[in-house]
Amino acid sequence: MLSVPQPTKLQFDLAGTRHLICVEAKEIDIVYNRLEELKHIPQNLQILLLEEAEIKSKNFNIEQFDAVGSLKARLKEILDRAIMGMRFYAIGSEQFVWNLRGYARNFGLSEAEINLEVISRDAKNIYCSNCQSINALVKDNIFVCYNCGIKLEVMEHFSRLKNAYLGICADAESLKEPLIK
Amino acid sequence: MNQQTVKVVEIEKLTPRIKRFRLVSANGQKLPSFSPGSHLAVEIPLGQKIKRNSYSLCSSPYKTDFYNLAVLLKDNSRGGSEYLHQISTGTELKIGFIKNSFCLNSLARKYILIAGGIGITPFISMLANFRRFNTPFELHYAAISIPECAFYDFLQQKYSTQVEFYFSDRQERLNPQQILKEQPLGTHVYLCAPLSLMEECSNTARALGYPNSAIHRELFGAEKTTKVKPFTAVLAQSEKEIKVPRDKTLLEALEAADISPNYSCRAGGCGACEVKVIEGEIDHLDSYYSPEEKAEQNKILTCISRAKSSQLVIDL
Repeated sequence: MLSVPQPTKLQFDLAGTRHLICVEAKEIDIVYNRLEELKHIPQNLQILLLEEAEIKSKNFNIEQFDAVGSLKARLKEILDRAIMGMRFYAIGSEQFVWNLRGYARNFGLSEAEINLEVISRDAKNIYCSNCQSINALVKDNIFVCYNCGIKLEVMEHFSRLKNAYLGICADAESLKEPLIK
Repeated sequence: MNQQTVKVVEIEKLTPRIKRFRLVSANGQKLPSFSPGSHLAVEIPLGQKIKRNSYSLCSSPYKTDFYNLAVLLKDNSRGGSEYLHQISTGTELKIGFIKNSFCLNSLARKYILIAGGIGITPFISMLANFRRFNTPFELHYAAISIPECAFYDFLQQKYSTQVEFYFSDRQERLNPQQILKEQPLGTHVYLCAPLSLMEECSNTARALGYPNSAIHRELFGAEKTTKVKPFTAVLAQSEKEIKVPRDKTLLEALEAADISPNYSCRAGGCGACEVKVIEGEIDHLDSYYSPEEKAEQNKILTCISRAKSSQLVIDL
């Protein structure tokens, strides 16, 4: 289905004048690989890394963060002062990439200035169509909503706005009273 | 052309060469609403012929009991602007439905408008929108002099803190680099100016890293060329041959032959009049296609582009 993000390989947009990369530590090698594919390493390149990883090159400006919250706080500092010419990249799990992509859009970055590479999508965020809560990192296609207790079936429908897949009632015909907390 | 009839109720001389026309519905019905940056085509009777010129609406989109158009009397007028400069109040005009190829991007955080001469017109309707929603913007407006600067008093009175004027008689020059550098994320640039200034601004924006989707251009005149020659358009579907003389565009020749192809800006900027080309060499004069698309030689904008070969077979 079209709403499900298709896998993309990170493409550096060299028309940009400053490049900001957010990456999960376990995927840092992909950044090195993508940079190696370029004829010239772009100027003004900055990497925000979630969790610790071996830094193979001292040529890059890399900052490390132990949690997504602190990474986003730094991202806010950068994007609040950023000017036109900025390009934003995110690499990692689907949940990480779309979370940061949505956050970056809040600062005025457009689709044309954002490039993503999703490495894994085994765990998903699920939006409950009954109680509107978002269940984080669900691995099953049928599960019970953590908030209202209704059994949800996960649809192949992804909301870029909510960074979550749609979960609908799995057994509507034999519905019991949901457990609203 | 989808038509409606309007009546000229007010004519104001904005500069020695620009007149503003206030149009109201001729049958008393409300005029259709429009979005900022819109334009419409005015039908101009020239003897036996009919010509259609596109003009930007330069009144507030929130007042639709009238439209304002501002028309420059061109030195090389082929009759259109000359006709409008001769009419008086009470004249009825036929206009086409409103079109917009210069829409405001609703996700923009800030707008930079760059106008040259009569290129100010599409921005007037945008200003009303910015004021209503308190949107950040800058207007940079280059003109020959204050007397030649349309809407100067209006802009000074209402938007003096957001408008910067550049008058060439004072040797003031609009500097795209200065204007476009260090603008916040989400800035969109809107250009309506002579081709050379638009090219300079577009190239500067791209060099500064603006994505193409943040650079918007409106054309208000055809690119001048001295190499115009007549050619024959062969219509593959209807098996007709249409002569396109030196003084007519392919679109005008098709209209004269009672074929009504689609069109919008009539200045090679919007792509609405695109027609497939089956055979022949195209002389692309538009600013719509990329160099790669032009090299493919398989489609033409009939409102402006012509043929290098003596014959062009088109898919109509």
